[in-house]
Amino acid sequence: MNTKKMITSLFPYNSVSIIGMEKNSGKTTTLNYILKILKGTKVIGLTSIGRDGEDCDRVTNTHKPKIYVEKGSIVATAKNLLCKCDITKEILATTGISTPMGEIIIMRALSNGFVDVAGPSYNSALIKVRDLMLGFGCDLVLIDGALNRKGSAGNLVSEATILATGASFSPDLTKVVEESSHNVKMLKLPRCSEKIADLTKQILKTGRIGFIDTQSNIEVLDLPTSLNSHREIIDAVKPNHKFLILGGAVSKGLIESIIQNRELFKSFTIIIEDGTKIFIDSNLYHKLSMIPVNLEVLDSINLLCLTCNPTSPYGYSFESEKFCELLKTSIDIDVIDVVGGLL
Amino acid sequence: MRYLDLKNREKIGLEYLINNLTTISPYGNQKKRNIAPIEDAETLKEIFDHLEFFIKRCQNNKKEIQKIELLLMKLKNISNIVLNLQKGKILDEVELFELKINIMIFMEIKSISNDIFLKDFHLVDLNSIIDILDPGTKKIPTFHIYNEYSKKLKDIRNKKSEIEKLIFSTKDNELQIKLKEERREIVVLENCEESKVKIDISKKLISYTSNIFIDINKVKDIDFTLAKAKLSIKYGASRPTIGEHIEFIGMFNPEILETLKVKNQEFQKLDILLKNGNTILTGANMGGKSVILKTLTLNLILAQMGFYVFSDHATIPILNFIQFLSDDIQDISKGLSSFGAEIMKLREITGCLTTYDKGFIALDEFARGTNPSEGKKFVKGLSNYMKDFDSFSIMATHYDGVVDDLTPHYQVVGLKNINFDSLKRKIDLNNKNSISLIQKHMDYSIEKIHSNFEVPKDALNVATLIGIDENLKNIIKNLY
Repeated sequence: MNTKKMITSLFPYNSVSIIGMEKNSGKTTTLNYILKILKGTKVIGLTSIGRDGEDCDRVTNTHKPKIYVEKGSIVATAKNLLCKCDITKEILATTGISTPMGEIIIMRALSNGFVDVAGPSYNSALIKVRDLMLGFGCDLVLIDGALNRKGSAGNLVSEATILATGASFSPDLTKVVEESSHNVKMLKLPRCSEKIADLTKQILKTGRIGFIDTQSNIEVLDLPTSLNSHREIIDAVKPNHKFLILGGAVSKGLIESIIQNRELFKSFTIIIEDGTKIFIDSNLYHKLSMIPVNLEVLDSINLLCLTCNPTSPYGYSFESEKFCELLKTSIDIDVIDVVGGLL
Repeated sequence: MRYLDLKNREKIGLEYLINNLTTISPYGNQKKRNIAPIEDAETLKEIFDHLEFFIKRCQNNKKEIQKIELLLMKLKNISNIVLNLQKGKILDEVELFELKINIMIFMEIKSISNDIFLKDFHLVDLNSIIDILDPGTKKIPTFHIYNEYSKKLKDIRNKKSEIEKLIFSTKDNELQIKLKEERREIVVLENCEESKVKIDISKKLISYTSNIFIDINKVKDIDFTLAKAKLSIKYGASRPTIGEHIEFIGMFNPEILETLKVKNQEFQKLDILLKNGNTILTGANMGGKSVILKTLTLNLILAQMGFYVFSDHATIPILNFIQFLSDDIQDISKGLSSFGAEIMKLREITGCLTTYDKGFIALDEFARGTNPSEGKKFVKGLSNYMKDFDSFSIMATHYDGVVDDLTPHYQVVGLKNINFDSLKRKIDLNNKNSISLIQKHMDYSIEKIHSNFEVPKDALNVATLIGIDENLKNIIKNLY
């Protein structure tokens, strides 16, 4: 994928989120890369879900790159971080959305400079901030997704998504490639049929968990979430059930319970809201598909490309060419090395 | 609390009404949470004058009112910022932004509201603040530390911009690092100069703080009075006259009115006159005695808080306290039975009676938790005790023989004028709806009883209508 192609692929969208597989997978590097290639073509809006972009990673104590924005860009960040942004700031709006680091403020950069971004940590507030920024004349809002906050990739928040992977995930190259390809697979899970989508929406209107049987009848369980309710869900399965609908986050534990009770779930299809809601690794997914159980989504995610960072801040790196080559063969979307250059 | 405790405020429907008060700005919302009764007749009259004026404006200047409401919606509470400023705190750019935006909105409100509202609601001019916060007179609702504030700042920023261009065009890595270092130094200079400007601006703004507070209070009053006016219009509330006695003609309860509306039923309006001393209210079961007491208390406290009342005509005295003893107080948490809780409340009420000149007390089925022969003595005793005070009280009771000829006595008409047999036949045909059929035929209006009437014996009638075991009914009937 070359620069031109990347720019063209971003062009149709007003909002794109960047999510990472792991800390230090190169999200910020990816962001800086996009900001650089789009320079002068679009007014960029920038925010994140939750806190990100520290000088120094709070969790692993490794150096983190800073985000460099161009004059004219619009940035939404928490008030206490304004002093860490060295752009000349024009305050455009205060949002009334509060975070541990103060209210989210929307500002315009009157000069180039580094910014420290911490956006709202829940989706509805993020949507509000995104719309405010678009209202101030942004052409494209980029959302920096924080660690394990894949929620920002959901269709409600952003129209398209970029996934960042990198050497920091594991020193074992094969493992990084395997998990990256698994993550792509989850984000690109197939959408269920229109008919099932309608029934699923009906279930999600009244509850979070439900079943659809062979006659297209629906049954809604009285459970607020699927977390910690494995037993109840498994006990509720009837022989004529065909689809299991899981609203909200789906944990590893539930999938493990389903695998343990494989006889009950033979030829089942599990419908989840979107690919960001399921938290299982490739191994578990493989076991699930062996039952066989299908995994489908209500809304598919528009995954634009995978970016990779062959250097790990823990002091080792992969051979860039080999890394990208392996990724490309196992994944059917475009792969970009944001550090070493374009491929 | 002198004017009803929180539980009773909720019980009589005051909370419901306050929640229905549609204040828009954070200032109005604040005022809504702290409404206090007013004990000065002149102040109260003035508030009613204002409300009357606002109601007219709501009807005749709809366009302007709508514009003001849209502006009120945009406001944020800047009281804390102004307080900080007053204390000498240096404001940061976000606080300066908030100040600028909100004062711009204040001035927009002023340009409309000063033309249509009374002088008491006129905002003062704060344009000099806007001039300070908008040195380029750009009139854009954003803020930054403008170059116009300092020549030095302008120069620093020009340098910053030049170096940024250089950084971008340089391919040489080492040179780029050097330039970035240089830029960092300039950023520090920029920050220092910006701080100086912020100190300057904050100092200049201090002298305006009292004027900002004046406008905050005006906006608060406008928002709150507008909300009261809209509530009055919605329910057709009317201005009470301040007088010596309590009189309501065509009184109603908005909360119950709404509930009945859903069921396609109407609220039967009430007429009542209370003079100093005690008044007795009797009536059939299910006749709505409690509703009458609640509605009366609600309207009295609302009037005292400067609201129009839910009645076609009303006269209210200035009251120094309002107390309500409901029929279901029981404080299990304190280990009190209902009678124990009643006596506790009674102590509070007699305390008010002896301390303050004039107040209002409503007692719903007082002493019903104890045995009837003693209970009756309590009610009669209390009724006699109250005669000696200037306060108003009304007691709803089931007890016979409490009323002497001198005590005014109201009675709910109830099922008195109903053909009992024909209603019973209707109910027998349609057993499921007995309650709603009784409600439909119940006459909820009240009438003044002049001679010493007995309390109506409708309990057996109502029980028969709802449905009671035939044998049991006969046994009870024989006991009458």
